[in-house]
Amino acid sequence: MAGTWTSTKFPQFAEQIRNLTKQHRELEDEPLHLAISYAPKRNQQDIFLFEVIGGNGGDSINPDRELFETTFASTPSFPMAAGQQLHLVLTNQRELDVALSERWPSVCEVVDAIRSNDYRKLYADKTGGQILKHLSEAGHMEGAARE
Amino acid sequence: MNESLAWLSQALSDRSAADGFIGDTDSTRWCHAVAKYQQTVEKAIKAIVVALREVGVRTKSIGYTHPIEPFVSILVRLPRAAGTRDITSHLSRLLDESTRASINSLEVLIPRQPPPGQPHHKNTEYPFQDSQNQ
Repeated sequence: MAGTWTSTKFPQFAEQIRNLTKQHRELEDEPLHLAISYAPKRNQQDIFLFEVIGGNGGDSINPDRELFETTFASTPSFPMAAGQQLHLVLTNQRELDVALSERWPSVCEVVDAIRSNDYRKLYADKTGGQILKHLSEAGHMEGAARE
Repeated sequence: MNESLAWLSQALSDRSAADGFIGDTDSTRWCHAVAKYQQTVEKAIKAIVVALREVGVRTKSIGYTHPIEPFVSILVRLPRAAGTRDITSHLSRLLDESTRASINSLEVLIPRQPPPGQPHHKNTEYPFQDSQNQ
């Protein structure tokens, strides 16, 4: 059910994922604008972290029309249940704008999760707040178009 | 030879070629040194990415594109425990801010197709606006 992810599953790994986001905020040359954990429809046992970064990490666009995604198995630094994985989905503001306008599947997952309230904001600076607002608006527009 | 060692071997070969060009008295060949140094870094980073598959870190594909900015961004975001000497902490120190800035300086010189009607940006292969004006 929409929204139950935030009250049931997220608390199980909230501290770990907040600590990881805190580490990522230390990268001053690649400032973290936005970090959210979310629950897409796929791999529902897994943990998903979506980050928008700037600086040197900042303006490439994937020609394959897919946000850059890396999965991590359980490690002592980030322990998880057997078979569970952490997915880090990384983008920059320029690529995100293109992904939204071209409706890349991986960004649609993020928009859907936000619209369904299956997400938690972990960090947002001023730019990140605007990005999150933009993603929410995209979700509302998508929802209205479906009705 | 496994895949990560194959990437590393090719990186070392690129560096050897780059060192040859940079030692050339003919400065018109130095652009080839820059191109080869960029490929050295690119292949060394890809070697690390492939090696990390063995410890459960997987990217969908390292692909055939030259820019490695997303891979570097991932390598410095691996979960790590403070104060440890494991591989993730080592990578974090290896790819410090200064090194990442140097990598970025090489990355911007990779030849890319310019927007329609626009000249090439400064790069190691094609004539670009600055050189046309000189």
